[in-house]
Amino acid sequence: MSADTTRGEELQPLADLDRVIHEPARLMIVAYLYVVESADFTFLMRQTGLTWGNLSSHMSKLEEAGYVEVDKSFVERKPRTMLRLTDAGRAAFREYRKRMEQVLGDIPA
Amino acid sequence: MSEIVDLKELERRAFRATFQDGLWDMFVGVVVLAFALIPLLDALGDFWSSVVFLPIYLLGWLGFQAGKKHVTLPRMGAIQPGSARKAKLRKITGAIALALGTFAALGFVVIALQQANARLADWLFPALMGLLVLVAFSVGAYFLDLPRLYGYGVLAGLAAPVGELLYRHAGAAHHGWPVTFGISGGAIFIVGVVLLARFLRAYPVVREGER
Repeated sequence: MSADTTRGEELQPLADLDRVIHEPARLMIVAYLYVVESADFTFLMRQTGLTWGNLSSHMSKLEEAGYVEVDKSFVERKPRTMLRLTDAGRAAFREYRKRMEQVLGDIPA
Repeated sequence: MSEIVDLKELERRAFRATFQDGLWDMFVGVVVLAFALIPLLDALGDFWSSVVFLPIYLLGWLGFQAGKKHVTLPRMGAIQPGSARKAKLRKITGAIALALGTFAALGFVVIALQQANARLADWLFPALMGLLVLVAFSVGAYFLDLPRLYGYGVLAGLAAPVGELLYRHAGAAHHGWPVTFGISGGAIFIVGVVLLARFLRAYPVVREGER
């Protein structure tokens, strides 16, 4: 087995990373939603430092991937959007962490 | 690298964010300040001067709720904590109930001691009260991950024993409570006001879809 092949195998988990989660802004969003049961749009905007438009766009991608559930409602005639990770989203984030830890843990300091 | 994202720290930060508006601090300040006010109303008699607590606390609580709704929510948003945090919050309720139960039991001990040795009982009550307050705040600080509550515990916990000291040695009226609880409650309330001012400056109102 050549050295190149071995290196390729070692880095295979990198190639298999979930690209939906791997994007930094989405990683922040998913990480925040992972540690709470649900959060509203305003809270995520504050915590991540993303603009409303940016957050909306990332949220759409996460929703399309089936990772986030969006619950829109009106509280005293004001719109309120609560967001939560789906079971698939939680599983995907756990898997992402596992793979990243595996890859980064193997890199010599 | 053992953690790609420090989830514990992230959860702590998310949870703590809901306490940065200073409203809890102001409410706690009002609760402590009420202890300064009550002895001044002793002309009303023990029962009525104690009952005055209730409208003060009710007003404080209503102000807190209104603040959360009209000030915090439009600026900071809201979260539902995760299951681990909810379990911690359940523990704090249990721990404080236990502390209050212990305090009630100790109250009976103080009454019994008063029959036997009035001088000892005079000091025992403020000491126990101070200890209970310190323990209650420390439990809150630990389970809520809010270190400033330890400081509040010391401030409010010292109020009764220091008040007794002032009463014994400097002749302060009402066991020194108006002075010591006034200072402690006032200091906690002022911290809340400062936090609120910083919060309002840092977080303008956000309306969904506007940005």
